[in-house]
Amino acid sequence: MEKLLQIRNLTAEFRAADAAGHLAVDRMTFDVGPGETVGLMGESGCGKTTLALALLGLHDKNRVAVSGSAIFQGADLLSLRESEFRKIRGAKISVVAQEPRIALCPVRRAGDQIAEIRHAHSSESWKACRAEASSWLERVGLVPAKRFYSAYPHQLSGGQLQRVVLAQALICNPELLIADEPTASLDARNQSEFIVLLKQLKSELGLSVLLISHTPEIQASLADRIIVMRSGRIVEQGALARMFRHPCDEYTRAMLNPAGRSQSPRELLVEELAHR
Amino acid sequence: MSTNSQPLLEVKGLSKTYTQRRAISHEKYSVRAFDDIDLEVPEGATIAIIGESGAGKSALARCLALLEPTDRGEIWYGGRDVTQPNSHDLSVRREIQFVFQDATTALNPRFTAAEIISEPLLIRGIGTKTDRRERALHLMQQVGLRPECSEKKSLEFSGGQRQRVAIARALALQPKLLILDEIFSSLDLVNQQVILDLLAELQEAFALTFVHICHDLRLVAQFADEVAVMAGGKIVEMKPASGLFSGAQHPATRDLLAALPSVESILLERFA
Amino acid sequence: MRYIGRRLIHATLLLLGVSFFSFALLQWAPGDFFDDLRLDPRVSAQTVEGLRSQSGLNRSLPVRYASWLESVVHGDFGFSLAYHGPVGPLIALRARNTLILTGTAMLMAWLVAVPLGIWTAVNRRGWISRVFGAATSTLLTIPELLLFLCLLLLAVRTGWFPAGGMRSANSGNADLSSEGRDLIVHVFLPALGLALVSLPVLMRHIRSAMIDVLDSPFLRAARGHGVGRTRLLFRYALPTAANSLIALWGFSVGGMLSGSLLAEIVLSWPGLGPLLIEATLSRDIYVVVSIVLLSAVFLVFGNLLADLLLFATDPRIRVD
Repeated sequence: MEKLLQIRNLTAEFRAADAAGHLAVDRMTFDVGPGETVGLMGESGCGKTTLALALLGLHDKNRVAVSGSAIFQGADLLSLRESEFRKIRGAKISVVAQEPRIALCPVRRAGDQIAEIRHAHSSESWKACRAEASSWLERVGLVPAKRFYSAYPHQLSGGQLQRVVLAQALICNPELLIADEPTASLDARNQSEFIVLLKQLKSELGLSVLLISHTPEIQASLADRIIVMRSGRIVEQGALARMFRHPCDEYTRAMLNPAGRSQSPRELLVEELAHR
Repeated sequence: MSTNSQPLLEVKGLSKTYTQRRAISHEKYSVRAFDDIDLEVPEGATIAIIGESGAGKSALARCLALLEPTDRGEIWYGGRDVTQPNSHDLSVRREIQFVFQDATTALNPRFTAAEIISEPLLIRGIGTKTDRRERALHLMQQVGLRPECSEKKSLEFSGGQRQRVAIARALALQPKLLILDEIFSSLDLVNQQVILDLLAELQEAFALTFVHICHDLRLVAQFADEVAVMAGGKIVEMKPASGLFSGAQHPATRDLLAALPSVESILLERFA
Repeated sequence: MRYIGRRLIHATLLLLGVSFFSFALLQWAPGDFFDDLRLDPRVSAQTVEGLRSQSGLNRSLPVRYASWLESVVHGDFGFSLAYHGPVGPLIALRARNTLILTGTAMLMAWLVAVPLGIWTAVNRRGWISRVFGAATSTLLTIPELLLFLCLLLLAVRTGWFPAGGMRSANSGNADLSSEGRDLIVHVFLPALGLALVSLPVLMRHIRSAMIDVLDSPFLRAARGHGVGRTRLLFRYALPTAANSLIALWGFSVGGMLSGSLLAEIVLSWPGLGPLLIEATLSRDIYVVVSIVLLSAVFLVFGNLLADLLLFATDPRIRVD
């Protein structure tokens, strides 16, 4: 089957003042198929977010050197120019990040900010974009849409804000959604509601998802495949059930299910520090 | 556990209401953080306070750490009434330390790890510069950070390491009681276990008492002796951790348990 | 509404305090208006005393203050000993002139500072930004007096601009448009001077307000959604930065009566400044106090304006 996204040897190096740079992502290679949810797991600082940003060209070229290839719909994302990226971001590949409170403009209405994304990518009138934004508010469960459309970000709760951000990400019907720790700042109830919503929407839209989350329960609910990362490299990847029940690597086991491991986490981390 | 019959920390009828003013009209309105809290923390114990966000846990944690004044009620520490701010002599403040949820924002990004950890000593005027540095290195070793990292700035550490720096800082003044506010929430599983193991070690080595604020029930079941469930600003249930998943439960507790199904149950549901 | 009521009460108390304080200070300063006369050997002490009691200067402080307050209510603002008339109309005219000057200066300064500030914020790494930074720093270090004197020199040497004053000698019955042109020609240099004085600080404020916004996470998030640079600037960044800028503008309004003293003196602009100096030196007490009061009114008004504007434009404050 034709893969939606083919990543080959993607490497991201942070240039430092001194000669030695820091390899945040080290020759990562994996695929994402159409309609597939790939879960990326790893501890903070292992390069997950760096990878996500690199796919959308959101790194400062003076600070980060990205190499390798990421073939998406026949084009290599890593060789695109900024103007070409703009057509892809939000329209073909979207991002939802961890902290919704700081992801929205504080002086504009929530609905307008959703409509703005549509307006930026299509030639539709502002009125049409507003209508589309309203219908998306309903789709993400923020009803009555009118009330939420005219609300300002500081009037909404964390869970509601995250849904607004999700609507922003999906309003142009992208093919791939990159979700970077989308529920990390939500409490348990909002977390489970968000997962349910995402599950429903991704099957409705046939959406592929690159789900970055260090919480096993979230990956178990949504992912089809799991990739475990450590220090910028892939430790292990495989189908969801297999990874949880029969992990090959000790680190994988510790990441997904700490109970019933042979090596202590302290030893694992000491090993990891030695890697760096 | 504790040989002393008197609890280390005792709280009776504690209440706090935040009074705020609306921005332009300056009208006062009040938000009740918590109400009529009774709590006993035996020496050497590990207590967990759980509840949904907005239940008042963080506010309670700050008041227990004497960081904020309360409106009503009493706080007794080591047999002394420390409710009024003026009654705290410095020794009490030294013995109760607080670890914040987000280590990234709790640590000064311009300071090196050694500076962060030795800052409490500097503020108290304890020891010479060399002494302080030695103690900082010693503490780093105790929390499992290599001494070479002492000159790194906090942002150069990973999340788990940053939390360890924060814990080392809390230990600098040799406290007896640590209040830890959601320190696990931003950590992945491996680091959670590392910190848990570390805390257990430290507890044994220094006879520490812990009060955790935590919303992750699975973690709580691992480390806590007793669990207090908060809902709507009150403690609705208090029981030993072993009885958390079984036995009669307050609806709030049941809600908390229901919100997070286990990985196995999720897998079973998906692939049945 | 209750809020406005409370602000008005605070303002009134503040103004009463300010006016009483300046009244008292002037009273306690040695001498009074007629002291110069006393020095004149031809005038007898009795005449001086007579003049003093005629003007009511021999009454006690509280009495004089109270009667001045009464006259404020009537619009007279006391009596000018030098000009032999009520203070009210005198300072009204001068205040109008000052406002013309500072209003023009404010317009000039903001028209330049806003685009430049935004531009140097957006292009903050370029060399042009650094050139402007150096230019504004230089401007900042030039003493105001020197600046105005240079402008005066420019006027005198080149003859492109009149060397002071507000109107040409032969104006008066001319039609509106040529009077207007005459005014513009006269106001240009002093307003330019004032604008140059306030430009550096203003530009820096605007620049840093924009940089704050340009670095904020929500802008990066919008960029991540594919929003282009122009849209980001005008529909995300500017509306957010506008808040602090609008408050800044409100405060500038507050300083409109008090900031132009030096310009008015050096370039002979008939505003409140020269009048204030004159009156202070001759201890024309009611003029001085009235001007101080008027300036304070403007300041309070400016603060209130800034708060109300913020209220109107920042949804975070408004909707609670």
